[in-house]
This record gives sequence, structure tokens and C-alpha cells, in this order.
Amino acid sequence: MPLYFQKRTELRRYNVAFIAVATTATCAAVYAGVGTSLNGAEYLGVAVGIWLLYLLIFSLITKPINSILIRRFGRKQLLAEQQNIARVIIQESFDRKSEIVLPNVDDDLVKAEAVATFKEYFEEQQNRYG
Amino acid sequence: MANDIEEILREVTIKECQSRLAAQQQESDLALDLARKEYESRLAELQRKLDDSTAIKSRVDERLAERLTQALKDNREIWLNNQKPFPSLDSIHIDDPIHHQVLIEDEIAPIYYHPLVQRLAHIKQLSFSYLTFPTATHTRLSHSLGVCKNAELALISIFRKGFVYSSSGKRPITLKEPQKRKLIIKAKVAALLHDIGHGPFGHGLDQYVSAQIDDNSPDKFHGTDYIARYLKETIDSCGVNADNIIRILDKNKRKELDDPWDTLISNLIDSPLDVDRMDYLVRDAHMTGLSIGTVNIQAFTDRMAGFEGENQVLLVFELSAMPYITHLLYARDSMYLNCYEHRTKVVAEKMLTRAIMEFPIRNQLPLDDLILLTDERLLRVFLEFSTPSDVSYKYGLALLTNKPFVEVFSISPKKRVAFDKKKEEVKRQKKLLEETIKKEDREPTAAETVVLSRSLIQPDEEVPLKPAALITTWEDQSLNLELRNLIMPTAWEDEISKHAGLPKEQKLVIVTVPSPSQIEPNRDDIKFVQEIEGGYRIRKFEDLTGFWEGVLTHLADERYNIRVFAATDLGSEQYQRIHDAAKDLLSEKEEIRRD
Repeated sequence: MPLYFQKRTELRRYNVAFIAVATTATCAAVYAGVGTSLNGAEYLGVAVGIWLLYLLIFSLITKPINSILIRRFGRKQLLAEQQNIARVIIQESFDRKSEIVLPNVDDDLVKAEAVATFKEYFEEQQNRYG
Repeated sequence: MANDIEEILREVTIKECQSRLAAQQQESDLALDLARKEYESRLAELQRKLDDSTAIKSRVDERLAERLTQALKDNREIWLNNQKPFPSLDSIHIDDPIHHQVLIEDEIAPIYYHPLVQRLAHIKQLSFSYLTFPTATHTRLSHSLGVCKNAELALISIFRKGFVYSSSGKRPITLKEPQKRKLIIKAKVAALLHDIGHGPFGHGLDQYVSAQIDDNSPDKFHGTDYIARYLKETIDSCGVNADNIIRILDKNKRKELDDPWDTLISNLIDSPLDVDRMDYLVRDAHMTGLSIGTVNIQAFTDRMAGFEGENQVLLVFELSAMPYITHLLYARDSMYLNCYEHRTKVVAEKMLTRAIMEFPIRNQLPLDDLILLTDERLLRVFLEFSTPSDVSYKYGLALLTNKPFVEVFSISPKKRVAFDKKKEEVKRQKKLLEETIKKEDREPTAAETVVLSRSLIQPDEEVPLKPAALITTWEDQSLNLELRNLIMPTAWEDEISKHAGLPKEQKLVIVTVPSPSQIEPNRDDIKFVQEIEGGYRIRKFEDLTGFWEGVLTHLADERYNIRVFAATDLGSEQYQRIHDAAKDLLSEKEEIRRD
């Protein structure tokens, strides 16, 4: 089993499941009467708010983390995708296309990562040579 | 990461290049393979077509050869079979533009009507002169009739005198009227038949035919042959001895003549100043419109006489004929310059010769059959029995439609010899003058100074081109007529074509050379009668004349040209190239000093 998410839908499903579990756990704790200084309704509201915040932060950090994981553990697959993209770029240059257009990526995160590496490379080249 | 990407890009680029190269190679291989297959298929198709066309051409050639053989057989049937014997014929009075009336007596009318004699009505006297002089379409028959008339007038004139000259004085002619008439009839028959051996276009094929039979007078050769083989019976039936006529017409058999008067007749018909020339000069001058050729025939016939020699009567002229004779010789050479050797006629005759040489089924056209054709028939043979791509067809068509080749270069070797001789003489005279002045130890006079300071070659003087060594080699071949008339000029044509960048197989260049008979004008056989003590003697023309000899030699030099012609459809640049190539080949390069 890979240590990263390969598809965007998988990551989204993971996020939703995690939030659902967390929300369920929070609701269960409220109903079980876990004693706090807050009343039940307030506590629930704060708890949900915290979870929503967490959800927001979580969903913001899971993508870069996944990128790191892909670059760390999915090197072989990433390389294959990079080679595919490089082939497209080279072919287009050989075919005398006026500008290089990187492929759109919908669902495949490895492919998206490969595209991102090329974007970074070209931006760097552009910055270097103006 | 950037290095990784660069590394990836490099690897992928290399792979892509390799893959593209491989793809292109594959594509090229594929295209090459396809092209090869296409080429092979087309080649096979062309080969098949070529085989088909070769087979068709072979069949066409076979068919053409069969048709030509049949056509020649039909032609022989027309001219050689004198099928209908004439029961009795009346005398024939023929209107003539020169002599007004020519009479063919009833007893010799069958000879006149013989197909071989009538064939002369289809051979133009001046071959291709009509290309330049459109009215000059008179025939060998009309000329032969004119010679008949002249022979008759000459004999009547000689008989009217009543005597012949001899070394012991004037001797009376003892012939009776019937004998005289018989001689006149004999002379007329010989005159009527003197040109019977002419092939199509008369002298137009002389260079070709003389090379084939190795004889400089092909018309005489064939003429006596025709008389012996086809006319003997008819002539004998007219009361004239055919063998006698052959001996009169054949120079080699004149010694066999047994009647002294037969020598006179042979001199009348064929000698340097004969009735043949008297007719053709006047007739040709009249028909071309070139009045320079006109001579006074009666002045000659009135001054003709017989000179009794050893068992022969020779034709002589009285001294008063001299101005008329010099005029005739001048008129003759002028006619040669302006008509008989006119460049258009000369090249047309050479084109005719080349058309025969290049005729694809030449083997099916034997010389005897060729000679028996008439003018129009020969041209039709080229058009009917060769294809438009053949040289003989193109030449035949050009001749038929008056598009002969045009002259681009000419060289006159004898003019150069005369020029060098003249300059040598001037040099010699200058040297002589210098020596005289030196010997007399004095200053040159004003006139002598002018002579001494005069340049050898004047500033505006035309210097004839110096002929190349190969022309001397060619001149040495006068005994090998085939080499001289046909092989060497053809080699020059090929050489000039090659250097002018023209395909030699298309025969776009023609070189004409003068005939061997043109080298020396034969005038030494003109005989005059001169009174001496106790009788008369014969003097030769050359002993009597000085000035005219120079004039005639000059005209002969003018006539002696080697000319280069080219097809009419070439551009000016090509003409220039041919001119330059011809000049390089036929003349020596030299620097003219005019100081």
C-alpha cells in the first residue's frame, strides 16, 4: 500500500471520513455528558467549531504533505509521469509549437506533482534568464 | 529537482531524437522501397512498350521495304519497258524558248518517244536552282532538244563551208547529201541521248554516285549503259548504229570510231567548247533570268569547221571566234559562281546526298534503281518510306518546302594560295628595288619610297583564311572519291557539331566540298585553226590568250569553296558556335601583321 494518495478523490474521501469520525466522536461525547464548564449546547457548538477549523487546516495541509510523500516514496511513479510530460514537451518543441503547454491534471495527484515540478523548473529558468 | 528535470529532459530529448530518426529512416526506407517498386514497374512497362514498338518498327520497316521494292519495280516497268513499237511516226516540230523550233525527224521519233528519253522531262536541268530561281524548272529533255538543234546547226554550218582545213590547205567535203543528212541524224541522236544517264536532280547526286561507282562522270557511265541495255534495239531500228552512238558518247571508246566524221560529232557533243555548253548556258541564263550567261550561239556555229587529221575530222574554231569563246568561258564561270554553285543549290544537293546516306532502308534502294528515279519521285521516297523522326524525312521535307540549310562559314583555300603568291611577288619586287638602289648607290626617288614603304598587307585588305592541314590531307584524296566526297566531310560535320554542342545524330550541320572536276578548269582542248605556209595548223586556246587565262583562273579560285551550313531552325547563338567550331577546325590560327 502506497504511503501517499495517488488520486484526489481518495484524499477527499479520507478528509471527509476523518471529519465524520471526529464529528461523530464529539457528538457522542456530548451526549455521554462529559462534564465541562459549558452546557451541552455550547460545548457542542465550540466542539463543532473547533473541528471545522481543524478540518479546514487539515484539508489545507494534507495536499502539501501528500506532495512530500509522493516525492519521497513515489519517486518511481513520479519519474514515469515526469518522463511522459517531458516527452510531450519535447515533441511539441520538435513539432515547432509556439509555446509549451503543460497538460491539465484532474484527478491524478502524482501526475499533478510531476506537472508542478516542471512548473517550478520553468519558473526558475524564467527567473534565472528573464 | 531542477537537475532531475534537466536530466529527464535530456534523456527524453535523446530518446525522442532517436525515435524520430528511426521513424524517418523507416519512412525513407518505405518511400525508397515504394519508389523502387514504382520505378521497376514503370521500367518494365517501358521495356514492354519498347519491345512492342521495336517489333512494330521492325514490321513497319519490313512493310516499308516491301513497298519500296514494289515501287522501284513499278518504276523500272515505267522507264525500261518500251512496250509499244511505233508503227510509223511523223516528224515532230517542237516549240522552244531558245531555238524557237526544234525538229525531230520521223525516222528518229521512236528514240524521242522512248520512256528513258521521256524520263528526262522529269529531271530538272538545274536540280535545286529553282529554290533560288523559281522559274528555272526546265528539264534535261528540253536541254537535250536544244543540243540536238545546236548539233544540227553546227553540222549544217560546217557542211555549208564545203571544205575542211588540213595541214596541206583546204580540202573539199566530198560527202553526198544523203551522207550529210545521215551524219546530221547521227549527231542529233547522240545529242538527244547525251544526258540520258542522269539520275534524279541531274548532277545533284554526282558526289554520291561517283563515290559508289568510282567514276567522276556518273551520267556518262549510266548513259552508255542504258543505251547498250535498253535503247539499242530502238536506235538500230531507226537506221542509226547504237554501238556507234556509244563510241561517240564514251570518251574512252572514241579511238574505236571508224568514220572520221564521228570524231567531229563526238567533239561537237562533248568537248570543252561543245554544243552542249552552248545550249545550257543560254537556256539556263534565260530560265533563271541571269543574263550574264547568255552567249551568241550562231557566232560559234558559223565559226566552227572541220580539221582533217589522221583518219579523223576534228572540231576547230576559226580565229575570229576568240572573243566569243572568251566570253563563253567567262559566262560559264560566272554562271557557276552565281547559279550552278550557288550556296542554296550546293547545300540542297548535299542534303539530298545525306538523305540517301541516312535513308533507313538504304539497302533496299540499289544504285541502279536510285538513278532511275525522277526528281519528285525521289523526294516522295524519303517522305513515304521513312518516318518523321528520320533524317532523310526531315531533309526531304526541307527540300520539298524550300527550307534548305543556311551558310554559316566558308573557306576558299585557293584564294589563300593566290593571296600568298601575290604577296610573295610584291615582296620579291620590293627586294629587287632595294637591291637596285643599293647597287646604284643613290637615294630612292619619291615614287620608289612610296613603293618601299608600302605595307605588305594593306589596312583594309581582306586576308583569306589560311586553310588547316586537314584540308590539304583532304585534297590529297582525289583518287578515293568515297573518302573525299562523303567520309571526310561527314567526319568534319560530326566534329563541328560536337564542338558546337549539338547532337551529331540529328545532322544539324552540313559541310560541302567542291567536286574534283572543279580543281582545274579544262580549257586546253579548245582548238583553233591558224593559217601557215602551205596549209593550216591547230593551235590551242591556252597558246593564244593571256589576260583571259588570269581572269578564268581567278574565277576558278573564287568557285573553290568549302562551306559549312546549319539547319534553319537554330538560334543565333548556335550559329555563332557552329561558325566558331568550323573556323577552329578548318582554318589555321594566325596573327595578321599589317605593318
